[in-house]
Amino acid sequence: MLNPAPITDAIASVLLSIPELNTAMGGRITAFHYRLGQEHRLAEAIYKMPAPSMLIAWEGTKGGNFDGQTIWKHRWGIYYRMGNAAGVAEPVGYEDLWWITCNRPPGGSGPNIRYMQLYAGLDIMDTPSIDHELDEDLIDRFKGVFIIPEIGDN
Amino acid sequence: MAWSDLVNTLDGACLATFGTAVTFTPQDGSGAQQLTGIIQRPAMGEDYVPGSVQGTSVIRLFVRFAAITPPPRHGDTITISAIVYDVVDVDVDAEGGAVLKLRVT
Repeated sequence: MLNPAPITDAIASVLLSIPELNTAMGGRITAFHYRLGQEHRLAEAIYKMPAPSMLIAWEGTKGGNFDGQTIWKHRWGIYYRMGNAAGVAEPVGYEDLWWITCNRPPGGSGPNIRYMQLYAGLDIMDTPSIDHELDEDLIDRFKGVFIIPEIGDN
Repeated sequence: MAWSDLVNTLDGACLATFGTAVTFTPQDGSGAQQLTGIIQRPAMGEDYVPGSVQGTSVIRLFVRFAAITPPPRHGDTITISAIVYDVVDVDVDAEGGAVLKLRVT
């Protein structure tokens, strides 16, 4: 099985390379690792996300016999917090952010993230999802989910 | 003395005693203005003092809403100790006070 830690970094790096997303997030797309003592706990890291920013966190791995060669599926949470849209002529809302994430190509050209091999040994991701959430002050925010199968057992 | 006047007097005394100077920048372009607000306990404690120069991510700030023109609304910005915060929510009470929920930009 692959180590999810460098894959988390790779996902953050690829998202950062999507020009429109990088601009909308002010370059603040970071990977989260559960390194007690070096980082805050995940709930606090999400709470502390500045506006705008994104946070990528590994949320677990499911093992099983999915098909003839897939036995691991890794899951990442993609946390969004949009910026202040007051006075902005063309605001980038959460709907736009998700559309950009799923459709705009990293590096400005080529396939979008859904059709990329994000790390050696991984297959392309399952169709991603996103859901509405509320933060501690009942402010809207969204969380996407990437589920990425491994090719075989590495 | 009417209840609202009593509360106004109380708010003024509290702000004078416990208040912190902040800069309020309305989104209507009317220009930055100095306010006094009381930093309240946020939803989750952080590892810096709220309002400190290190800058916590979330601050709740009590202000005398009725005395501010234009009235604060979400999308405005507040600067505390050189840290810029967005006003993400405004909870106004019936006596003219309000808690502004701020998030660092």
